[in-house]
Amino acid sequence: MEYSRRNFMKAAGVGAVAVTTSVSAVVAGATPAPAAAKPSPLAIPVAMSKETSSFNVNGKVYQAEYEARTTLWEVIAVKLGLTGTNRSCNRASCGACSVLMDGTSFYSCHTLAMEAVGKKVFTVEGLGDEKNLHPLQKIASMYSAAECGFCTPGWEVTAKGLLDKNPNPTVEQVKAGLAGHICRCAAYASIIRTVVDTGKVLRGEAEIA
Amino acid sequence: MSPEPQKQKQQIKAEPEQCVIINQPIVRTFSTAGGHGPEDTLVEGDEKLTIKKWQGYPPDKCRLIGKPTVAMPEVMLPRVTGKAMYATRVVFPNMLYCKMLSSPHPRARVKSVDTSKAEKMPGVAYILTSGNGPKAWPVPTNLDFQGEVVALVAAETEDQAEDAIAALEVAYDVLPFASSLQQAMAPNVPDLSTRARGNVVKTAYHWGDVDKAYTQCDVIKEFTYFFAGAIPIPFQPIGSVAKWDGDKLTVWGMGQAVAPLRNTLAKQMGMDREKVRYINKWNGGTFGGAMPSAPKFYPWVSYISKETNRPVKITLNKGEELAHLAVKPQTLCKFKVGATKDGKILACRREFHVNTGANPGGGFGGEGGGGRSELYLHVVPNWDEIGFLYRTNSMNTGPSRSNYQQEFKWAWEQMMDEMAEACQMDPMKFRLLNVQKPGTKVAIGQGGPTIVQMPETENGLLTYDDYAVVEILEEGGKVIGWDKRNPVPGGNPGRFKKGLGLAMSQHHAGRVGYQEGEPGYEWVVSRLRTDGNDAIEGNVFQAFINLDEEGHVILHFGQPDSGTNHGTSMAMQVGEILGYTNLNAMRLIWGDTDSSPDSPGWHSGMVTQLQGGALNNAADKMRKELLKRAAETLKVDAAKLEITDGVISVTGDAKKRITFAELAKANKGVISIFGRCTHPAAIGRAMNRGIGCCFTEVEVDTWTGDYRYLRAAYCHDAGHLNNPLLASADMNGSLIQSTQMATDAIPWDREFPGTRHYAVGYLSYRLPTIMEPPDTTNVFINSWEPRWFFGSKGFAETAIGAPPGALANAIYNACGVRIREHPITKDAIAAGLKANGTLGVIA
Repeated sequence: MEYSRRNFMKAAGVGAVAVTTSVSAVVAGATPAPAAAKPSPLAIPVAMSKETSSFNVNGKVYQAEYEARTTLWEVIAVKLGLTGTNRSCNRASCGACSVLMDGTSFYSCHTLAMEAVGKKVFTVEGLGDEKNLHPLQKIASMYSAAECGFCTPGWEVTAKGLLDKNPNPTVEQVKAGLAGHICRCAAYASIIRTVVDTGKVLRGEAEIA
Repeated sequence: MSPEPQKQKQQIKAEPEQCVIINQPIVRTFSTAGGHGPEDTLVEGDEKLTIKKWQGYPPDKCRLIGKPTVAMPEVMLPRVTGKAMYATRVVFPNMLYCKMLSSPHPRARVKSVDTSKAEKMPGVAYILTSGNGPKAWPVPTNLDFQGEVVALVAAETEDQAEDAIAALEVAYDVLPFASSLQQAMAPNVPDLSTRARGNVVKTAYHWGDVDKAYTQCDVIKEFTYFFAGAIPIPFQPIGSVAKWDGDKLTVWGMGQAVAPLRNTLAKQMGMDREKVRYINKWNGGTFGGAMPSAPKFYPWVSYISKETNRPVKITLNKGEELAHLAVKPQTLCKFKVGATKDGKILACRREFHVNTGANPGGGFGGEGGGGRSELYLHVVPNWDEIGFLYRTNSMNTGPSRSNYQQEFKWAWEQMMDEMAEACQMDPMKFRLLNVQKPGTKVAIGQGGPTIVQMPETENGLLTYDDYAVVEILEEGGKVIGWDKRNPVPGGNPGRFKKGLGLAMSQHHAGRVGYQEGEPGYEWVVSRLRTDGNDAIEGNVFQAFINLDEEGHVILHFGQPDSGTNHGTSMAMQVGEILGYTNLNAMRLIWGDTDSSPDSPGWHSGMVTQLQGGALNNAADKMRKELLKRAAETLKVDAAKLEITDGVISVTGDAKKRITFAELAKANKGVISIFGRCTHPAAIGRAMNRGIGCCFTEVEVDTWTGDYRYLRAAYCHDAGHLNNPLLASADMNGSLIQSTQMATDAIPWDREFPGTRHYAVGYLSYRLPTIMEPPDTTNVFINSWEPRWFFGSKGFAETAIGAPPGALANAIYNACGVRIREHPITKDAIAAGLKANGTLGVIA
């Protein structure tokens, strides 16, 4: 069996509730209609318990309904519509989907939504928008540290978490801090410059010309 | 206590890191056909086509081109704020999510798909198999590679769709297969031929008399090299969204074109083009490999969307996606090379074998033509080549960070290094002796673009001196310190041994074209007209520029961005023509069939030059039109007017002036001007000259075989570098991506080697991280292409073939281990050291 979060969740038996709803036919615009409870056609459980929780994302509180197996990425990007956080590998190996939880960077594709309940989640939307850019975003633009931009929201929030804890990182500390982020355009040199120089701006030693 | 003196704050500026720009003289004495004399026009080749030098915009008058310039905010800021609308970010409230069932077999036929259980699964809205779906683009039943699509399920969530996929029951007729190059070359290979092509396509080229030439050679050597395949892996997952509004279909896609994909989709859906809108503004990288992958799914999601009357999205996971990207093929190259004792190559026989995968033929790896681009610049007077292109049950092959470069240059550039050593020559001097230099004449038919006629060809001979072959080698050599190169492979003392390597590249170098209104444009387009509308659509780039009443210059062009920043480069070119010194007035509208005229897609480093050529053509007309209107308003001769930053004034009388905005207001609305551009490749004539190279320094641990990539000098004949900031950032990535192709083979499936990737996303494919990039200096040589605006020419993929060979050659120089069988790994180096008796030697 191919490794995936979904299969892992099945193997772990999370939400092992063998109750299902069914669609009577393949119909345009079908929505699941309630049906009599019956065992799943598969040996593995396919329906999961529904949960409703509050999520604190970038200081705002949102309500979302989700299943036990639902990832934090799916809640943020699909259910809450905060689409800035990209999902790339969906295998916890590339860092694109990183968000901060209580100041520490997590891969949201492999963090269960329920793990984020009661924590402060921070995403790229919290960093700044085009009218109010964070120095990280300004300098990343100036150094072309965002080429295709798909990895950018992930490493930006991790860099924010790094700078919050260590406002004066060395190049080696930046590399170690961002080692969990793949950039396929390989803008690594520009990313390192961006984080180091953002530290200087935040410390008041440099200013953006 | 006196106050401490205030420390001067460091200024953060948009400047490139470690970038060397070398300007060649604009007027050069060696000019033969290249147009570097003092003349204002060029007369090209047998056709005697007249070209206005620099298209009227000389390089030494530029005020904007050449300045480090930050990417346009409308392209860049959405990337850093998380707002760039990749197809994966498109979400609608009532959207359905698709997942696919893919073939577990390398070759099979689908006998039946039982959907009855899956239909009853929670959230399932639609199941697409070969039995339904668009007639012109059915889900296949003949499965030619592992990972081919068998069925699609649309459900309320991705998880529910995956659950239903697991409940599909498929009966397969499993067939014998050949997936790897070794299997395809075996004597008992199954017949995989199709109507489009046989199992094997042979190609052959020869000139001169190789056997006779060998008799005059002092050194004759034979070499074999194997490249095990590689893959570019864009970061954005392959995906798309389809949505219907009445009878109008909108698709958000991922690729390197807009109008051509809209047109194909309309055909597949049996619709009028006007009823289909295609949007693709940002991509999370495409790297060529994504070009054929995402569009395959557009008709299917469009069909499901229509049937369910809901927006439908598909996002492939990495395991699925790796089977659908175009990959770099397994390639086996054999050489027999003969040279004189002073290092002049007289004869070369080459045999190559390429696993071209499931391609039915045609483009995307069907032809193997790119393999000869080594000969763009090398002079080999006697050549004999035979090539074998195998159809296999592997995934599609094709352009992915260049077409046929890394895999062929892996062999060629190591061969050049080994021949240099056999001739007891320095590899740089050996190359300088054997490449075409300004003034070299090459006959038609002798390799590279000279297989076909160049516009500059005269009486069957091509002389083209507008490229910086000597300069890239000499300037790059200075940056890396080539003169300090270890003269004996493995000769440095100690456990950790450093070494330098060099390789060259010439791919798609120096793309330029013809703009509407010049004789070359008519020459090309008149020939395209005889081939019909498709030929025109496929080769004529179009664009328009609007000047609005607020003085904005708005560029409309139909291309997506993949991190390529071509919009910014093109805005700089248009700005230069219109007299701007910055981009403040420029605006970009791109990547949407509803807002831009049709153009071919982009690839091969052509977009800034050819899509840019169409915009420049419009800008040139706009400039003339604005000067004419200003002259009428100001009642002066247009020749006495000058333009700076949207203000037209009389030379010597700055008070007599009118602004662009005022001219637009006087027009009572936008002034809109159309432009077009084409290229001679459209009629089978090459127009590529340019050159790149890569110098590499490594350090090998001779106790373990591990190595570190320390430094690189990545060198480019840039024509006239538009924007050092973005070019340098782009080339840093080019170096790392291309190097990665030397260090990772495709991680094939354990059960069916050669069939598909072992699909655990990035975990099984070692992609370069932030820990690995070398200390890189980009070297740009401004060689001033006289045929094009400002002396610019395309160089996006010129040097890209070089890094794998440079790394292999540097490792050889460091420790005496020659890795002829790709990829370069710690284990392979350790095995080589062991064979040489140098592993773990205590110095």
